[in-house]
Amino acid sequence: MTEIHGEPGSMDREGRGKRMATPILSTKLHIPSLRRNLVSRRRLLERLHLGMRRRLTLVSAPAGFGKTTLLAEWIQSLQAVAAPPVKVAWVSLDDGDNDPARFSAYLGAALQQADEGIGQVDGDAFELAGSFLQESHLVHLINQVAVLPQTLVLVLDDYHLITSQVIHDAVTFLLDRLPENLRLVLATRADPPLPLPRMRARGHLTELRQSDLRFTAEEAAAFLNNVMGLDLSAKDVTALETRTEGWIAGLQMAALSLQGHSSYATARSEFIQAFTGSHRFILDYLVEEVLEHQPPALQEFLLKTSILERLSGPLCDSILGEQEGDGLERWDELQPPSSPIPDSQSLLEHLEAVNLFIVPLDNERRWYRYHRLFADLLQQRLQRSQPDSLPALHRRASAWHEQQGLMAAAIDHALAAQDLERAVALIEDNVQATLMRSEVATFLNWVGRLPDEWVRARPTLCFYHAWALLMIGRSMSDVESRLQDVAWDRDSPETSGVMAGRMAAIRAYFSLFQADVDRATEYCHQASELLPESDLFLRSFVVWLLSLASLADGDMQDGSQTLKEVARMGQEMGNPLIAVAAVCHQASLQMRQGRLHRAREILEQALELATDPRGRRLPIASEALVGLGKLWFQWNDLEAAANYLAESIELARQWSEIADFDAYMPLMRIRLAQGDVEAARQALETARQIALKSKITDLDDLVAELQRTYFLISQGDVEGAMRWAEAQGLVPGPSAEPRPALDEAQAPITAHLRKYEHILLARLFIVQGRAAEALDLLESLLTQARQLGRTDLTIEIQIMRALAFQTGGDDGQAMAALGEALSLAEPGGYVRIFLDEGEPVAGLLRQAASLGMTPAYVAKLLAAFSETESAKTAAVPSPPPAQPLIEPLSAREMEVLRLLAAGLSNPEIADELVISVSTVRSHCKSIYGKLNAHSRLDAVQRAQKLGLI
Amino acid sequence: LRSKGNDTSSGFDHPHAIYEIQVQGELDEGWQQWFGGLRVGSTHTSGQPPVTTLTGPVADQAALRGMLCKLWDLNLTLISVRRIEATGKEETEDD
Repeated sequence: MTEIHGEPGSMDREGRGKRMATPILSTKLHIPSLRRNLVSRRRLLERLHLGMRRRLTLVSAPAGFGKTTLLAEWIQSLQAVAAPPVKVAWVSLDDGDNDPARFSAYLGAALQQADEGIGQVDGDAFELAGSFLQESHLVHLINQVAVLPQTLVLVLDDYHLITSQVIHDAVTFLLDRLPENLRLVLATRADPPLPLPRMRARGHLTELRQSDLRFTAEEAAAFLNNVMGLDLSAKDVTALETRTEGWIAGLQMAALSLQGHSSYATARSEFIQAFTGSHRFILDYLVEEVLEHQPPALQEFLLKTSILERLSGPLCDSILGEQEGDGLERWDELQPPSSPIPDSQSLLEHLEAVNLFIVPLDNERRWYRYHRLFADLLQQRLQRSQPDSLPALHRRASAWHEQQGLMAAAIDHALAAQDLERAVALIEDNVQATLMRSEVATFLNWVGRLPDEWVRARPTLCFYHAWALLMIGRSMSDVESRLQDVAWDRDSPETSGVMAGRMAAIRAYFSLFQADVDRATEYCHQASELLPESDLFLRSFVVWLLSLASLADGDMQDGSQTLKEVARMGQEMGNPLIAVAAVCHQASLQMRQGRLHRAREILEQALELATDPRGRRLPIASEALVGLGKLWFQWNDLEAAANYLAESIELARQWSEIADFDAYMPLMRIRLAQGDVEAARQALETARQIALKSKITDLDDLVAELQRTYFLISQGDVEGAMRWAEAQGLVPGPSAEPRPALDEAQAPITAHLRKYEHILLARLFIVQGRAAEALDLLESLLTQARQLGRTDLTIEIQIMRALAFQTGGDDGQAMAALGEALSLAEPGGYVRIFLDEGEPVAGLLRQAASLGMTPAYVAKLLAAFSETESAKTAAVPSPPPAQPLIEPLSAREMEVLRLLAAGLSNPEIADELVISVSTVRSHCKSIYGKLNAHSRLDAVQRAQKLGLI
Repeated sequence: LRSKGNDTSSGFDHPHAIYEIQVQGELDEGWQQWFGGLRVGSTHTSGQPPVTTLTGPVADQAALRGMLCKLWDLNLTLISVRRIEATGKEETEDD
C-alpha cells in the first residue's frame, strides 16, 4: 500500500504523532494525467495563462464541460514553459472535506507535496488540532509561500462539494491576502459563496464559464474526427454539436455510441438522425447506447462498480467476486465458456484504453475513478435495474475498506448499505481515533446519517455524541439532553460498569467547567474505578481532570502526584497533548508555591515535550509559553515575557478560537508595566471577547471581569471599580445583590474566585484610603492563603498589608508584613509583584533598606524601581482618548464605527480594514455593548449624540 | 397533451411541502427513485420542447437543495421551482 495511506500510522513520517495523523489518500492529491490524445484548447489555455496575473481563476460550469481536463492540460503546459517551473498543489475535493480538520489536512499535504518547506510547522499543527484554518495559521502559510522563489498554483477541484462556511471563510481570508506568487484556481459546478463581485470589480478574478468551455464547431470536429477517429461529415458534426450544445460529455458519449455502430456512413447517419431527433435527456439516451454496445460482462462490471468512489482491481474483485445466489450464476452465464473471466484490473485498464469515462488516479494504474457524471448515470441504472443488489454491493465494499483500514469509506458504505448494525459497530470502534484527530465534524456527520432511535438505543454512540457536542462548544442543555438519552442495561455487569464510568467522566468534565471542584473530584474517582484499564483515552482524560480538580482545590500535594501520573500516561500513549498539559500544571503548582526557578525548569521540559524532533512546536506548547511569559514578567524582563506570550497566542489559536485566552491576562499586565495603556486595554478587550465566545462556562467571563477591574484600579478609575464591587455584591450599593459572607456556602463557581475578588476589593480599599477595612479583609485572606500553601498570594497580600499599615501610620506592622513578603519572595526572585504597587512600596523598601532587611534583594528591587522611573520619564505619554464613555472605544472600534456610520456592510468593512467578517462582527458587538445600542442605526445615532463621530 | 407518472409509494401523507420542479427535456419515470421518489412525468406540447415535471413532498429546504443539485449535476436545465399547497394529498399538475 504505497498509494493509499490507510492506517493512521502510515503517515508517521519522521516521528510524527502516530495516533493523530489524518489518513491521507494520496490519490486525492494526484494531478490528473492527460489522455494521450485530446483536443488541445489553446484559446482557453491562453486565458488561463493570462489569469496568472490575477489572484483567483474560477472555472465554473456544470458537469461534463471538461474543467478538470482543461486544468490538467494547462498545468502540464505551465510546468513545461515557465522558468523557474511553477509549483502546483492539487486537491480533488469530496464531501468528506467539509470537515475543517480533513480539509486542512489535505490542503497541508498538497502544499507540502508541492514544496517540502511549506506547511511544515502547520503540518504538525493541523494533524494535532485540525485548526489549520485559523487565521493566524493561514497568515503563516502565506508568509511561507511569499518567500518562495517560484510561483505556486493551488488547485481545488470540485469546490462545489464544499458547503462548510468555515472553509469558505478561510478561502476568502486567503484570497484577501494572497501573495504575488500564490495563485488560487477553483474548479466548480456552481459559483462558490466567495466575494466574487468584489474580486471582479477589482480585477482579481479570471473566469471561465459554461459558454467558454463548450466545444466550438471546430473543436467538436477535431474531437469527433481526430480524437475519436469517426470521420464524420461536416453536416453530421454540426448536427451533433447543435444537439449537445457543445457539451463535451454529451459529445463524448455520442462518439462512443457511434464507435459501437457499424462504420458504414449510412448507419452512422441513422444514429445521428435518431439521436438529434430525440427529445430524450441526452445522457439517458446515450448511456443506454454506449452500454448496449459493451459486452455483457463489462456492462455488469460498470454498473456494479459505479457505487465506488475510487476503484482498484482488488476492490472491484472483492465486490464482484463473491456474488450471492443468482448473481454468481449470471456472471458465469454471461461469459462465453472458453474465455476466462477477466480480472478487474484488466477490465479497468481496458476501460481506460477505450476512453470510457475512467480517470486514473495515480501513475501506477492502481486507482481509478469514474467520471462523476458517468458514475451517477451508471448508479441510476443500477438502482433501476437491480435495486436488490445494492445493499450487498455496499456491504462488500464496506468489508473490503475495513480490511484495508480505510475506516471512513467502510463506514460510508455500511451506511449506504443501510446495514445500520454494521455501521454503528464501525463508528463505535473508530470514534475515539476520530475524535483524537479532531475530526468532530466527520463523526457528527456519521451520527447525523443514523436514525435518531438507533443513536438513542446505543449508549456508547450517545455518549460520544454528547462528548462531540461538548467539543464543538454546544450549549450545556444540548449536551445534557443527549446525555439524558444514554440508557444502558444496568443489570449487565460488564456494560453497566463501563457506561457508568463514562458517564462519570463526562460529568466530571461538566462539573469542572462549572468550577464545582468537589463534584468533579468525586466523579473522577468514580470514573477511574469503573472505566476498564484498556480505555486509555478516557482514563488519561479523567486523571487529567482529577489533577485540575486537585489544583483548584488547593490540594497541591495530591495534585502534583496525579499530575505526574498523567504525564507518564500521556507519554506512554504517545499523546503529547496530555503529557505537556500535565507537566505545565506541575509548573504552575511550583509557581503557586513561590518556586519560580523550579517552575522554569519544568516549563522548559514541557516545551521540549511539545517540540517535535525537527524543532517545530506543537500547539499545546502554548501552555508552556504562557507559563514562561508569566515567569519572565515576574522577573521584570518585559520584552522576553511579551515574546513568549506572542508565540503562545499564535500557537493557541491553531488549537481553538478560545485557547489563547490565558495569554491575554499577563499580556495586559506587561502592557501596563510598559506604560502602554491602549495596548493593555486591547489585550483586556480581546480576552473579554474570547470569554464571550465560549459558551460552555462563565468562569472565563468572571476572570476577564476581575482583570478589567484590576485595569480600572490601575487607571485610577475608582468609581468604575466600585461599580464592579457593588455588582458582585462585595460592598453594599444601589446595584448590589445580597451575597453570603466569606465563610458561608457559596456557588462553587464563585467560591473558587472569591479570594481573588477579595484581594481586588482590598486593593480598592487601599486606593480609597480605607485602611482598616482593607486590613480586615486581608487578615482573613492571609489565613486562607497560608492554609492553601499559596506562597504567591501570601506575598501579594503581605505587600498590601504593609501598604495598608503604612496608610494607617503603623510602620512597625508595615515592616513586619513587608519582611515576610521579602523573605518569601527572595528565593523565587520576584520583582514585578513589588514594582506593580508603585511608589508607596518603593518608600517601604527604602525604609527596609535602612533597617538592613534582606539587603541584597532589597537593593535589587530598588534598582528596578529607579530603572522604571527613568524609563517612564523617557517614554512619551500617550494622551488618553477623550471619550465620554465609561469604557472608551478602542482605536479599531472607532474605525469600525466610522465605517458603520458611512453605511458600509460588514463584508465591506472587513474588506476596508483587511480583517475577517467575524472580527467585524465581534467589533460591532463590542461597540453596541459600550454604547448600549441595540442596532447599527442606534449605535451610529448614539455615537453622534456623544460627539464620537 | 399527455402526462405520465407513477404514484409514489409513500411520503405523501407526511405534512411536508409539495414541490413541483420543471426541467427542460424528457426524463422517463425510471428516474423516479434517483430523485428520492418524486413523481417524474414529462409533457409534450406540439411545437414546444418537452418539459419534465418532478412532483412530490420535500422534507425541508435542505432536501430541496439536494434535489436541485442532483438536477444540476446531470446538466438538466431548470425551468421552474414551485411550492404547491401542503395539503397532504397528491395533486396532479397537467398542462
